[in-house]
Amino acid sequence: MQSKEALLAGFVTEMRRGAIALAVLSRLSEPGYGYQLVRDLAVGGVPVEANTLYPLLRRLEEQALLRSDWDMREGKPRKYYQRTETGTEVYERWRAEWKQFSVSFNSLLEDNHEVK
Amino acid sequence: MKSNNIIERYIYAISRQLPVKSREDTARELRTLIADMLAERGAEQEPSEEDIRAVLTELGRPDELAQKYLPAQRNCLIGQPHFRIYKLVLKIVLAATLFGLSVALMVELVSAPTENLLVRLGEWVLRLFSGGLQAFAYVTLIFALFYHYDVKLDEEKDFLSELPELPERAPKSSAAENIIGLIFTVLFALAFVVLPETNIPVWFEERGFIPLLNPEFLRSMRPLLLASLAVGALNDITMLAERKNSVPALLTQLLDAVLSGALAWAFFSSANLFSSQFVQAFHAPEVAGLFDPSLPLNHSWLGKLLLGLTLFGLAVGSISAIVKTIRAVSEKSA
Repeated sequence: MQSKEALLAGFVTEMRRGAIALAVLSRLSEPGYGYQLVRDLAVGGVPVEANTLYPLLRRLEEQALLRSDWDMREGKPRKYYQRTETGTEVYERWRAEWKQFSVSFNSLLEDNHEVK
Repeated sequence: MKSNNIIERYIYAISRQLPVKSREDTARELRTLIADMLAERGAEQEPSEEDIRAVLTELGRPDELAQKYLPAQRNCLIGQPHFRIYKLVLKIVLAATLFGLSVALMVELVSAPTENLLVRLGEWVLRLFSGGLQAFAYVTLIFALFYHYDVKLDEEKDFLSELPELPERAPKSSAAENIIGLIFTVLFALAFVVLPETNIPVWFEERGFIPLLNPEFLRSMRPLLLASLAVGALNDITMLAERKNSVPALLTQLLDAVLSGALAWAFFSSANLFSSQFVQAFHAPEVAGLFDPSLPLNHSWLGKLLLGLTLFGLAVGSISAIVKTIRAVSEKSA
């Protein structure tokens, strides 16, 4: 049987998996590049590792929620991502869902706490 | 130079696993990412090998990172919903294969009798094994392809009408049945041991009662017959003590079936089953094609048929017991 720690780690990973895409979409109304996002999200209290974020950006781009442009002006070529129109629409609706969900969930967890 | 080499090799280890069209793009992005991470460590200009190793270690194994770039793949041989149907088909195909091979063996046995039963049984087991293995391989291969190419097997439009029946409670075998069986087994064994020559008397008008069976043959059969009776008794006792369809009950039942099969084989293929008095006294030309006491029983087609049916019945009973026990045990553990 799995240890308590392993179980909990599994639950948390599972819980964060979908939510990270929402966090990424929320940051990209303006163009931004990968490593900048890694730092922004960490500052915002949602640390995401680069090896998770970069493939996720690629996937959101394939799903036409983000578009990208290479900026070659500096020494290092940078790939800037930005929400597409579809991306913005999906983001707004997802955000509304999230807010509703978090209100319900918070109340559920509080209730549970009181029963205990 | 050497440090750059590590970075390029790391990036190559990832990009070579990606679709060709996104390789260069991803490689370039990763190169910049690594440079950014090195810069964060204040080591962008002259990164030490230590810095590079630390950064690459943080990014993780190339295989795992490449995997994250690839679309969610079917990463097992046969997954749901195909696996459920695969299991069902595999059971049916395996059962049909084993059954078919067993029937073929029975037919062979009665059409070309052999004295060496053990060799035949060994061949049978080998053939069952290789046949079962082939059936398994083919079914697995076909379903792996179905799964890989996402062939739709059932749309489950009306799943409510296809819900499985609840499993029947395995009935306990009736205790009375086993006790009666036990009593008869013991009585039969006693009769066989106590009476010096258990035999069947047959009346002939001019000769009076003569023994039907050859005492020599009966004596030679004694160990096998006693073993068979002992196992039969053991089976009854096990059935009494354990639940029906338990593993010990199955083992005694299978052993019982093997011994009974061997006994039947011996009776049907022995050339001196009948007593010499009976062979001399028996004159019935009207049944000569069916029954001639001077030859083994399985020389006539009737004898072959009876022997075949007996062995076939034992095989079917054993296979059915195996299946029932597997089902009972797996339900119990589920």
